[in-house]
Amino acid sequence: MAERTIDTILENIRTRIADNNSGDISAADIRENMVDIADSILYNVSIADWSTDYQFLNDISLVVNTDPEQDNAERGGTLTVQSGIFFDTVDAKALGLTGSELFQTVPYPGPGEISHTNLKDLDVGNPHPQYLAVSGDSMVGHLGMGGYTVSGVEVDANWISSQGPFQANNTLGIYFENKQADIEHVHLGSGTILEFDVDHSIMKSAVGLAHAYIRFDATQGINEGEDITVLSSYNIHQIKRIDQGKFEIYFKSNAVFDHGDYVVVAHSNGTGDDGSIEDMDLVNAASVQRSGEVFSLVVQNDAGQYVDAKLNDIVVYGIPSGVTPPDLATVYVAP
Amino acid sequence: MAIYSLDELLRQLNTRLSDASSDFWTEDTIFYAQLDLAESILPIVQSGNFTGTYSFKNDVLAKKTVSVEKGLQFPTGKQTVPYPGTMSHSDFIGLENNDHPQYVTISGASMSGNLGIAGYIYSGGGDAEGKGITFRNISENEERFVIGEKTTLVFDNDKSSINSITGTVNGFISFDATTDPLTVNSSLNIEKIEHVSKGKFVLYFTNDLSGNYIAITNTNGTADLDISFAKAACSFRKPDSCGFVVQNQFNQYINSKTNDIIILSIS
Repeated sequence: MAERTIDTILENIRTRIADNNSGDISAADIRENMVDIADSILYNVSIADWSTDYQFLNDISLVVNTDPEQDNAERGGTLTVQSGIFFDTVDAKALGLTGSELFQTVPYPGPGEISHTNLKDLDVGNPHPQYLAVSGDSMVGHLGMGGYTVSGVEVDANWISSQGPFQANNTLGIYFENKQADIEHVHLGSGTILEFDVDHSIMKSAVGLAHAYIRFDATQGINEGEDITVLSSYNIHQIKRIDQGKFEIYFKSNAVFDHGDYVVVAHSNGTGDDGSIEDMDLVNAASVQRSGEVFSLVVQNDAGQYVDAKLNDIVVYGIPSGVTPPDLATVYVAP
Repeated sequence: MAIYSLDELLRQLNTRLSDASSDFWTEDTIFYAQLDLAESILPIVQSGNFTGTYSFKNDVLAKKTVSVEKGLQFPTGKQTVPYPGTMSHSDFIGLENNDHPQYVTISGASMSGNLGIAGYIYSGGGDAEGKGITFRNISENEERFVIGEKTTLVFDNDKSSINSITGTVNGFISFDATTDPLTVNSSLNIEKIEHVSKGKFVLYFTNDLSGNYIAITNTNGTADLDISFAKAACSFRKPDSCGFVVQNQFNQYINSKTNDIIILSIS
């Protein structure tokens, strides 16, 4: 026998088992038609249009079973598709999928098997608002840049600069250094200058800032027993009146020098700051003795007498310990 | 009635409906053969091997569910687990790759746009509060670059450092009072200088200072290497102005050639 299409089988039945030739119907007519039907079942199932003409109206289950004719080898259980699977489901349409989007043509490998890199549109939009967009963003929290030690392990400091990771050497920009639990340093790289856009003033070093200053009135104290009133001070721990017109001024512990070669500029006036413009009582102020912790201030009038002046302004400039000293001015002797 | 496999069904039909036995056929012979054929169709389909010769040549539509016990075989591979419709991002592999060029990588990157920051940029050691730098918006046109209270700004250039700008000069001026009008050579935070009379001047600040500010003055009667003794003082001091007076050694007010004053203030 042979595999035949349904149309052929039907034609053969109508021809060989026709009503008007019942007397001529042989056993073969019956048998061969039935054998053809049986023999063509799989063939006709395979070529049928199961998407439009016929559709599976019930669930289909492909089960794993054994084939007794193949030594009970395992078979079945797999659905093989060469073009894909079309998900004509409510859920798929609810996702807004249409047309080819409803087709699955590659296998889903399961969780833990899909590469993030292979996802499409990775550079489109802002799918991760929890990250900083390189095109500009706002952080709502802190940003750690490294430069600290935790459990004995040093975490390298990283730089913030205009060139970021593309800078050739680590001198441009800023980085951070955690010195102690509550002490942090922000470093400006040695090739970096602080600039104020308001007037484009720049700052390459902090050495030019006043190291300390004090303003005091030596004619009276605020409290009984005091003979000096400190009106303003910075990095000054204490001022001690040694005698009339003679004072010792002590730096705060974190502002002491490891040398006495710093600059003290002083100005004194015999009258106060609440008078008129004519109030001027010439006195001379000078700082002679200077050490890391303390410097002196003496004030004399024109007659060379030590006097307690009403207005005394002193500002100190110098190179603190640990700071790379700038080159000292060279000395040129005129010929 | 019986359900047969395809081979068995064919054998039964060929035997029971053979030419040799046709003389012994009854109605039941054909009747039961047809019933067996009908009943065996679905079992034959069920056990058919539809992967080779009999693979489906057309599309198949299942009005209900297709169940598979071993999986779905695509030309590119086999699927053995259902696609859940949604996936946890954490389940993807290769998450450590830089797949999103629109984001800044933790290993270092360059921003192509502006960066706003509400917290501190700091080393990362311990609690961030007060460490490092941050920005504070005061108004639409005023922003402050803030160095945390636990932070010192260090210039690697010479290791000098500051944790306050209190030591910064808040105002200065250098002027020549021998010209008419006087000549201002340089100034900072001085909006106006008033020449009241010989040797008497009032400096008006651009931005007010606190009353107890420091003022260091210097004056000289000449502009060359010679010295013409004179003494300058910052006499009265107000938030918006201060006096600058110059006398010679005879306590006479004079207009001096070089006049300098620097002012430092906590404010």
